[in-house]
Amino acid sequence: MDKLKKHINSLPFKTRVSFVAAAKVFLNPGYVALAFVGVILSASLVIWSLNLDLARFILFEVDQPLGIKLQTVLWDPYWNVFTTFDSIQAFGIVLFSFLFGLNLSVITYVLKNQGLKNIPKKSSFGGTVFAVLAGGCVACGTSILAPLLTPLLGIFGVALSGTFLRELATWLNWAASILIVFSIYKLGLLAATIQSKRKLDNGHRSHKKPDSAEQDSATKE
Amino acid sequence: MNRIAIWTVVILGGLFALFMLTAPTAEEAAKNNAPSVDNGGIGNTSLFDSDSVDLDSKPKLFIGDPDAPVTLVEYGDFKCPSCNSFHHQAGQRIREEYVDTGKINIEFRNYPFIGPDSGRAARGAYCANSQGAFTAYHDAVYNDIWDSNYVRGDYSVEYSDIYSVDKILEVTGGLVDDPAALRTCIESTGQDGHIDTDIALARQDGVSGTPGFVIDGRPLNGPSNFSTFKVLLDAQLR
Repeated sequence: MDKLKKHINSLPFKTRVSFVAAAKVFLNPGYVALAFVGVILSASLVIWSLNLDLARFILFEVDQPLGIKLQTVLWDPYWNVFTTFDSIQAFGIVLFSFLFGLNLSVITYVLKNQGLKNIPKKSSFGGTVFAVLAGGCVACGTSILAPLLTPLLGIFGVALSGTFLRELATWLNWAASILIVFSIYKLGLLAATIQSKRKLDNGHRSHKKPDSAEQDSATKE
Repeated sequence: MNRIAIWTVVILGGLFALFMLTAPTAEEAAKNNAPSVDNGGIGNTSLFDSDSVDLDSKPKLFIGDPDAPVTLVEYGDFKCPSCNSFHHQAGQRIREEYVDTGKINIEFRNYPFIGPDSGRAARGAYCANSQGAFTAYHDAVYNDIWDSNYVRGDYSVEYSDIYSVDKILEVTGGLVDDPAALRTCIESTGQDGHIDTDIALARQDGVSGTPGFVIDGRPLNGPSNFSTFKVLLDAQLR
C-alpha cells in the first residue's frame, strides 16, 4: 500500500521528467524528420488498411508519375482525413499517427543510446494493432473488425450492430492512443536517464579539462 | 543518429511494402464480411450464390451519360453516413470533373444493411429509375438526411426507421411524374430481386461494405478522398 502511495505521489514528477526528456529529443531535427515519417506511414497504414491491395496497385501498377502515386497513397489521405472520415474517427487517426510518430523518434533515440534493453514493446505494438483494427468505417461494415468479431461473438449468440461496432472502434482508437502515450512516458524516463548521464559525463569532462591543462603546464615546467 | 534514422525508415518502409504485398485481397476479405445487420429482409446475402447473378433483368442505375467510356461503380446504403459524406465531398468533385464532362458515369448499386428503411429507400431507387428520375431521387434522399442530421455530426437517426414510405414520398414525390406509382412500387416487393443482385455483385466485386467502389475492376472499400479516385480514373481514361 505504501509502495503504491509512493508511486502515485511520484507520478506527476516522473511524468514531467519523462515528457520534458522526450521533448528534448526533438531538439535534433533528424528526430523531427523521423517523427514526420512515422506520422505519415502510420496514418497511411490505418487509412489504407481496408484497401492494401489497391494501394499496392496504385504504387506499383498505375501508369502515373511516381510523385503523384506517392502523393495519392501517403500524402492526400492524411490531409483530407477530416473530409473523408467523420470527425471523431478523423481525430482518432490524427491523434494516433501523431503519437506514433513521436513514439518512433523517442524509441530510435533510446535504441541508439541504450540498445533494446527496457524498450516498452508491448504498449507500442499494442497501440498500433488497436489503431489498425479501428481503422475504416466500422459502422458501414467496411472495417476489419466486423469479420473478426462476427464469428467470435456469434459463439456467444451475440449479434453485431453497427452502433456497437462504431463505439468499439472509437474506444479502440482511444485505447491505441493511450497505449502509445504510455509507451512515450516509459521511453521518456529512459531518455531522461540517458540525458542526465550525458550531462554528468559532460560535467566530468569540463571539470577534468582544467586539470589536464594544469598537468600539461606542470609537465612542461 | 542519421544512420539509425535512415535504417529505421528503410525497415519501416520495407515492412509497409511487405504488408501490402502479402495482404489478403479485398475479394477474400469481402467473402467474410457480408452485411450482418437487420435490413428488413431486403438484400439478404445469405440467399445468394454469388455465381448466380441475374444481370440481364437488372436495370442499371446510372448517374451521368450511360454511354460514357468509363464507369465508376458505387455501392451505397441511403442511410450510411460515410456514403453521404462521399456524396457531398469527393462525389461532388467527381460529378463536376468527370461525370458532368461526359468522361465517366457512376453506376449506383444498392447495398442496404443498416435498417429496414435502407431497404425501402433502395426499392425507391429502382422505382424512381423506372420513371427516369433516379439521379434526382438519389440526390434528394442523400441531401435530406444530410441536411437534417449528418451535416452536424448527428448520427442518432442512423438506426431509427425514419424512411417510411410516406417520408420517402414527401422527400422525392415531387421528382417523379407519377408519385402514386412510386408509392405502389416501394410498397411492393417487385424490386427486391434487383437489390439482391446488387448485393451479390458486391460480393463478386470484392466490396465488403459501404461506401464501396469498383474502378477498372478493382474494389475500393470505405470512404476515400478525391485524389484516389482521380489517379485511378485518369489512368483508366488514358
